[in-house]
Amino acid sequence: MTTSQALAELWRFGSPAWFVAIAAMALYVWAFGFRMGRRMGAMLAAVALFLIATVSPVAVLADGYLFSAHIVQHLLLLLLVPPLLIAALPPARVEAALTRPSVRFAQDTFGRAPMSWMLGLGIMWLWHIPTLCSASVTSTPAYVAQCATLLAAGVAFYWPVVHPVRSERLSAPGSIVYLFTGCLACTLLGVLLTFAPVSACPVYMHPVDTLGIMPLLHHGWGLTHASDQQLGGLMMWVPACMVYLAGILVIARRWLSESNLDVVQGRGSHGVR
Amino acid sequence: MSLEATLEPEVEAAPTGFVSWVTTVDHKRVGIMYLITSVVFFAIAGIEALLMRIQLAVPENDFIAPELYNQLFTMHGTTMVFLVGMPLIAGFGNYLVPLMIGARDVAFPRLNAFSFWLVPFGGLMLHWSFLAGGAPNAGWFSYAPLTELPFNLNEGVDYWLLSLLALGIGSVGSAINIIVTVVTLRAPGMKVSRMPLFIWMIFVTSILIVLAIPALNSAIVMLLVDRHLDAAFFLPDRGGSAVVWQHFFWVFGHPEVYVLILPVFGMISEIIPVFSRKPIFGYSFVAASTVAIGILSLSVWAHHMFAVGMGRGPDLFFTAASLLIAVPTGVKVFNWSATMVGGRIQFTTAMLFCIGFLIEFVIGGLSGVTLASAPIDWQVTDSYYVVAHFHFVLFGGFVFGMAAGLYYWFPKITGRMLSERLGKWQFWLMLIGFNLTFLGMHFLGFMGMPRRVFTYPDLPGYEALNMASTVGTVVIAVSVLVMLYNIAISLKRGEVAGDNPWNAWTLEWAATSPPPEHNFELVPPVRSRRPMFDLAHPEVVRDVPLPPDDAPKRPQAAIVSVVAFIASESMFFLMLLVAFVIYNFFEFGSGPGPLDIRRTGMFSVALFASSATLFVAERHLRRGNGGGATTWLGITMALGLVFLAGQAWEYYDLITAHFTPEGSIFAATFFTTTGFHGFHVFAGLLALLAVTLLRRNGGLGKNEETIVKATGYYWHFVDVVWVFVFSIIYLGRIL
Repeated sequence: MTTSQALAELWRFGSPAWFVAIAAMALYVWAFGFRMGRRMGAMLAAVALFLIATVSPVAVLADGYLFSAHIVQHLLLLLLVPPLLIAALPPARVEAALTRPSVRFAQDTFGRAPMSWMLGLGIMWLWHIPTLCSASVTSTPAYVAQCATLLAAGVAFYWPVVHPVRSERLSAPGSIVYLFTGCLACTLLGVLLTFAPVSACPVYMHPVDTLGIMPLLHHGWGLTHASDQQLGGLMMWVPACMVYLAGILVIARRWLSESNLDVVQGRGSHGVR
Repeated sequence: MSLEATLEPEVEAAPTGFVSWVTTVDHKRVGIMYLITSVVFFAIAGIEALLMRIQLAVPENDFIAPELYNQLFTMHGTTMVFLVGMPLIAGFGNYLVPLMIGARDVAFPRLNAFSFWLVPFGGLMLHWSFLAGGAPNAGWFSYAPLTELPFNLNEGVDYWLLSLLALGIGSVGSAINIIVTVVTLRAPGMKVSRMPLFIWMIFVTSILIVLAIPALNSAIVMLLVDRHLDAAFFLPDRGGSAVVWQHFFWVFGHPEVYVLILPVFGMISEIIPVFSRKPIFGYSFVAASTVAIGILSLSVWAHHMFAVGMGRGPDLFFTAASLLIAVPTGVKVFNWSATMVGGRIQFTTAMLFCIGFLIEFVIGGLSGVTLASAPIDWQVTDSYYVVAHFHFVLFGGFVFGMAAGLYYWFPKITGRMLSERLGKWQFWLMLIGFNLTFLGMHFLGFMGMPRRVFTYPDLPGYEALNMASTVGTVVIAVSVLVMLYNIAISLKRGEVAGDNPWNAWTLEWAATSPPPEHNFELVPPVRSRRPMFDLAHPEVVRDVPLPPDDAPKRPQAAIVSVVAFIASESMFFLMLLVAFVIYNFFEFGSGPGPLDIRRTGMFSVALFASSATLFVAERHLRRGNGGGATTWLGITMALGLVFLAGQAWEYYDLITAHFTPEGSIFAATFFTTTGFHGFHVFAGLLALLAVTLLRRNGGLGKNEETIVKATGYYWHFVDVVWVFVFSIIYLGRIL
């Protein structure tokens, strides 16, 4: 099998993830109506990324073959889908929902720093305890639980930073510290995975090659178990941090552009002399 | 005001002359002392460079013996980074930060003086090694195992380690001071989005210092344990790993590069707009990208280690991430250039140095981009190409920027202008000398000349390029002499500057030159990023109301400082715990140690309980029950003592059972980590004791609650660290 064949063929069109995606889309349209715009775009992007994580070759490779694909799955579900989901929510409706004590309680319990931070980072560390990591590959309930908890923890993590209602968000410096420490915790896990000489997820050590793609992975892509784990660790280390960093940049710029007088002053080159 | 007048403090009974400088806590005088110290060490390290260049002027030279040559390049690098670069930044930072934000002084003037005095102390200790049997000789990054006892019996390495520890503590102290000053003491109206860019940059730099120095400290203490307690952290033949030193050093070393260059970016961002008579182009990008550069710099250290053989994956990722840093940095260069475009540029000496900075820094940055690529790095690493690269960044960037800062702020600091005529001589001599010295080194590197080698064979082209380089060094030396002469005569006969000789826009120019001890008679209102411009052009900002003073809403200094300190300490313990995991859970595992988990568990309960009792004490204090607070503070300290006693008991048992650092890596990591934690518990106890005693005499005044709270943060932090230490070291081994 060649790389292009693998990319074309290794899809799971029969996966229940399709059902989840369609149901989520339907629920969204039912609850908020259908209107093309930024929010609908965010929702569509979230669903698309969710599908990439669960039915594309990423999912197939993560299923017992490649630890690095497993990490890509994590990053998609924990770092990219949740902020898009939050961005898809209309602020007015969220504000209305927050008047209900139960919703308010849920937010104040899980969606506030430092609890949300601990959930978001904790879930990532938790699923990398070697036994749990292996279980998430070998057992379907564990796999479903992993996907669901990653998504939920991701939403909790991002909630204080990209809250639909602006006034409920963390302050700009608070958000920067929040995301920066998130980046540090992520880096630390990435470093340990990258340089660990022991297997962080033993199930990937000896894949059962039902699809006949091991020759491609070994010889075509040049991945051994060790280099695969290293690649996974590096994914966690560098690109994951870039996601946080992008958030920090957006927040910092918005924070700094508050003072509009300087824009007036900035026009032309009139000086003192 | 004449210079002599400012040397005399205004308070009557205050000490005068030399004593007044030694005892001062005024941020301006501390800043000046920092600057003078760094100029002295700049001269020393410069002479070392001259000696090396004389040795290298011709092939097969025997002017300097190999061993002395090793000491010279080690001392040159170490001195330039830790005793020139860092003190220059701290000096300008100290002098300028309070003035630029309209404050009376830094947040903690005494801590400031203490941080400063550690610099001459550390510098003396480092240089004492010349008299005590030989200076350190393993390069400024002191790679293990070359620095280990079997390979280096020279005590110079110990001097290197201890002085860097002292200098590091000083740097962290000064950085915390700047962070707290910026956070809590800004003038009314100076929102974060109105801070001068120099303040932004020095703020990010300070955060980097606070986070990065502890990584170096952790490596230093491990090497000290190796050298003096006979452990083997970095000795591969006894189960250690030399590569761990490299990782730990560069976790510090890479951010350190940005620690040096970011404040210079800040200076450039102040000076170029003033001499282009235009506001900076893209303020928010310049500020925000600084944050990005700071964060990125913490996670790309491994690009210094491509030659170690980390594997294809790490090489790829670190190449990519390192190249990424070039993006925000490169855009900044466009920001500065765009500021100049269409401006009425005044070619003062300060501006010339800024333009020189732009050109040389871009060259250094581009060679940096090439070095970020692993395959190129393999070809040229440890050659003169690398020497050329970092001198373009650190001399062409850092020194040129600092020179610009000197010419720009000298009138403010002394009340007199530096001579522009001599300044231009200095600039052109330095520009020519610098390029003569370092441009050719790129080619020497490509031709295969290795760095740090005391001589070279007479290969084609080597001699000409090396001779040119040596001549260039002499030209640089002349330019430095011109600068020193300029400073000397300008102090005496320079043109009197007045408050705002450059018609600049930031607050420091509102004070007299030099400023009085209390800095400002009246801080001008801050309605924009350019308060002095507004003062001169009231019509522009007439309608902008002055925002209400938000100072009371800002965080309290005690809390900010303790949080910054905890962040620093967290990095230290993080590195020690990472070392523990690497050495014991990875390949070096040495079997379960003779730890008594149950006993330590019991003593841990005492420590955790002490956190609870401290909460109770704080609650009593909030409710105004001083007596109850004292009681519960006492109980907290007693519980802390119980924990320490338990640890002492444990150590006694272990050591009598011959479980010692030289025996196994596990023992070494165990004692290092728990030992430093115990030391921190002890420090926390002292802090609590001090607070308790001061409270009894009413010495804390109205800040009592905040100070107890801040001390409490530290105590809780020590407990939290123990949660991790206990889980990893004790529980981790039975899992």
